[in-house]
Amino acid sequence: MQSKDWKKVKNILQDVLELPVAERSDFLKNLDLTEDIKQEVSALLSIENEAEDMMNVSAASLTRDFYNDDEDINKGLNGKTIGSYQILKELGTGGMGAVYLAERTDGEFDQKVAIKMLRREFNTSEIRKRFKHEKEIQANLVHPNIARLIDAGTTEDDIPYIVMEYIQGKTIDNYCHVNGLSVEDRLKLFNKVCEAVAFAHRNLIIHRDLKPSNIIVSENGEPKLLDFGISKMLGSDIKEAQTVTKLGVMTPEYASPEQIKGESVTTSTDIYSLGIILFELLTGQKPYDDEFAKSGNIFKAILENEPDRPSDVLIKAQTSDISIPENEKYQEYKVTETDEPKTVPLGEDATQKLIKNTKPQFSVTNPKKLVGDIDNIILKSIRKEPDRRYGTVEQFSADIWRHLDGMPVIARPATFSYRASKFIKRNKVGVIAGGLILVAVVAGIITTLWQARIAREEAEKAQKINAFLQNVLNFSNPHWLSSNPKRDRNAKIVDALDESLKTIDTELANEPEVQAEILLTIGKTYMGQGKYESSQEVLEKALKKFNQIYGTDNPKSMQARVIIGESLFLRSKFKEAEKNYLEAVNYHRKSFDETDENRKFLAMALAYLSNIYGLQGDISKAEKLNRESMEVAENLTGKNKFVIPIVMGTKANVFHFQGKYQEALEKYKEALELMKVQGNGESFEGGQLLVMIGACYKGLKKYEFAEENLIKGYEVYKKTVGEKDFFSTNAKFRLGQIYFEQGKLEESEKILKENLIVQRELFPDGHVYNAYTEIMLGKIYTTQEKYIESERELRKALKYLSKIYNEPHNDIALVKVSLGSNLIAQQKFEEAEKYLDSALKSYVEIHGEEHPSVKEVRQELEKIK
Amino acid sequence: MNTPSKNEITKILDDWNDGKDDAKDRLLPYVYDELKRQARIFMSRERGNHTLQPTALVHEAFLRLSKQSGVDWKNRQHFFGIASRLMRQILVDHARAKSTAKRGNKPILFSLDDIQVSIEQRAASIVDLHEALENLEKMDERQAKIVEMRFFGGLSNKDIAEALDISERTVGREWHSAKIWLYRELHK
Repeated sequence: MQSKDWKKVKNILQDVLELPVAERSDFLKNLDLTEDIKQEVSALLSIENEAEDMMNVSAASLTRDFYNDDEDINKGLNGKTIGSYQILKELGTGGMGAVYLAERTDGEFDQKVAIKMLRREFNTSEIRKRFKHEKEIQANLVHPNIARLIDAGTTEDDIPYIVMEYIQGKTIDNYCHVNGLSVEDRLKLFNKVCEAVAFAHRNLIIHRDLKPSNIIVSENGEPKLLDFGISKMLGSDIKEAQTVTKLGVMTPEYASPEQIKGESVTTSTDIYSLGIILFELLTGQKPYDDEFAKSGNIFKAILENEPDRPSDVLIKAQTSDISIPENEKYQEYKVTETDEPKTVPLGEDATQKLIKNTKPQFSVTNPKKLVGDIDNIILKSIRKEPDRRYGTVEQFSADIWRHLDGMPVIARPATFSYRASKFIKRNKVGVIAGGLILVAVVAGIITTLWQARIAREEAEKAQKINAFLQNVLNFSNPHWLSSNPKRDRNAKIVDALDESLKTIDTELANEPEVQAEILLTIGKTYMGQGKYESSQEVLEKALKKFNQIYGTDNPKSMQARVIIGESLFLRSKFKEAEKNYLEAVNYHRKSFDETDENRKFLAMALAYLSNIYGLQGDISKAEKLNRESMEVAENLTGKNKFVIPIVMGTKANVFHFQGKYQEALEKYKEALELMKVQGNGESFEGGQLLVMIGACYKGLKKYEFAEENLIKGYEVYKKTVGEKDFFSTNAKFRLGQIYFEQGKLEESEKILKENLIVQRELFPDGHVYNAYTEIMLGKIYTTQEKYIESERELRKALKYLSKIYNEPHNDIALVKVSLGSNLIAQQKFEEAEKYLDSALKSYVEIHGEEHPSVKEVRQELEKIK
Repeated sequence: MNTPSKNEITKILDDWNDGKDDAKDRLLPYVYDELKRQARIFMSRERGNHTLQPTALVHEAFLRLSKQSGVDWKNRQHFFGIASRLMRQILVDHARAKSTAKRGNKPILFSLDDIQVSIEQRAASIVDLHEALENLEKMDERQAKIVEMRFFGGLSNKDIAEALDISERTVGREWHSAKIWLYRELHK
């Protein structure tokens, strides 16, 4: 019967059953129902009495004597055959599955396997889905340090199972203990585990349940990772991922704070668990064991307690009489079965029973070996905030290798402020109870200490930077006072910097932080000198160093990225610029303890991004980013407020891109006014605003105002960045353009030709602005009927533009039209038609049939016919 | 199954209190094992007590899990819902293991009188009923759930009404009509 039919029948049946027997048939007869339904209701009514007594006791009463033999029905599988495997014994059960040891029945190979089978009572569709998921994940993970999937299937009664490589060995902690491994060997073994986890991560899989009992070391010393039962596939569709989380049962002792809080799980979660495992392998304890013994609440400890340094934990344990507190947890795991002690079953909890009974052994470990690097490495990997841990497992593992190789490691002790903030957080309740005065005192002391420490560190760093930069300055000091061996009075700052770069690697080899700071400063200076390529090159070096020191996410790297972005932007490399800005923006959006200085860089990154999108015609995105940029900029203080008019200028740019010259003009003027109020009217950026004001007037065809502002802008550029600078040539180019539009052809030609010489000096390999100047010259010559010269300039421009842009492109089409007109004038119709046709095709594709440019080209084509 | 770690249970119950839906699924294995344990204790007590109520068993399981976790757990009624489902699984699993009797014998009513019927007979009938209930489930999930809670979970109409958030009268009507349908299904 269909569900809806039953519900109809049922409702009537229930109504009728409540009526006295005598009234039932009349009631039923008068209902407006199909005959089928009436018949069905009557049929059911007729057996009411027989069914009355049914189920008047509970099922349990009826089945109580089913239990008189206490055997577990799940164990009935021993000796049975599943697929081509015969089950030898149960290795353990846990969660939703049981694991059996089995061997092949066909005798083809003498191979023992582990069969993981769903417990029949959990054989529901949802759990089957998860089981299938595990199978799929395992099938994709073929790695020497990951247990291999051999086979999979379903039994006759439809219970799914998977056949895995059976690993004869010991769990990693037990292995280290039994073999008395040295610290170095433990680290090397651990690194192999990292390789396996990193491999899984590269395959977009997060394990999520890493713990010693899931890592078995085989007899030949190879660790193997087991049990991807609750792993998560990155980037799989959300629904699937949720299903998996839903059924996941994590192991609390190795669970990360984000797992406990139910937040999103990332590869960083595995890094955390690996960190806890390493902690345990080296100290015999997990970081929160003590707290757990005290309060019994491990979750609180994981979320709130700062872990002790592993070396301290080890010292403490070695000096106390009892090696480890025999707390409740360990008692819970009393061995209940006597398995051969050397065969450790595959994963699962039976293994835990074995392990927990053997007391962790740490006498082999000398605490001194952990002090410093290892303490720092472990503590970095188990930070509470995922983004304060290592970025990847590879980085974690690489730091361990660095330590083993005697190289400096990346991990640093948590900063004092970090610990202090933790302290306050942790002691919040107590502190508040003790009164607010105490808060003030505690906070005051902490702040003072912290500042003193920062100050001292910063002072040391500053001294070193200062010493280096003095040397740079001395480059242009010919006097004996100069310490620089290469003294040259006429040396420019850029020359001095070029020179200093040669020595920085050797002179400050042991001071990566100082090196990175200096490189950042030099990169900023190159930027200001218009040396965009050098700036990018140096900043990329700085970026690499900052990343090595602080990990990829740090404010200094982001500063470098913002400037790299600008150097790319100014060379029209928008895609790469965008990438760098996005990195910076994404970092700053999620970072909290932000200084004003860092916010300034964020504002600028957003503003530039807005311009990139504006240039590409994505106006809504540009406007959105510009708003965000302004919000950031408006909250800046002091000197950093200088950024506000700059952001205003980029807002005006967005109008300008759209050809909204009037709105753009007003915004540029507003920005310039503000800059003047700030006392920066004559700054380089002020010059930019003047030039853009001129550009707006040009758009509005108010050429006199345009000329006036462009000349003013050019003067400011000359004073700030000099004549031989990209911006200065840009101002001149724009002047040439308005002269042309006014019909002042000679003036235009003169200024553009002069300009082109400087441009070629600045960009010997060509630049799109060189091409634009050539186009302008080509147009002038065409107007002057100097067709040969014109054709030459236009062809040069076309050649260059074709190299940097893909067709269809507006600017390529533009040159082709100019070239076409030129060729018509020279009566070279065939070639002219070719260029015009191609331009027409591009214009139609880019702008559509109705665009004025399309009509213009059609007119030209008419001329040929 | 391993002894449920105190931490895990605490965490799961806390999650449930916080309204996280998935907690229920994560709790399943623990409740299942706890119920089985309780069932063994209850079932192996002296034979005289014919009217053994699984309610007591479910209550006991609930108390033990709550106490063990130290969580003041609000979802008592919901717990009954899961417990009933798991009781059904436990009982049916055992029945399957005992059921060697051929089908087609006179079906039993699962009433007090049936206690005298042979183990094999009862076992086969429980499996039959379980299958009939699965058919009902396909047509009417809530109604099947009510049967499950009452017959397998041993819960009162009041408990069921609270757990499913419906009136006691509805529970009674559903139960009554379900019995008739199941009776016919088993006597086909």
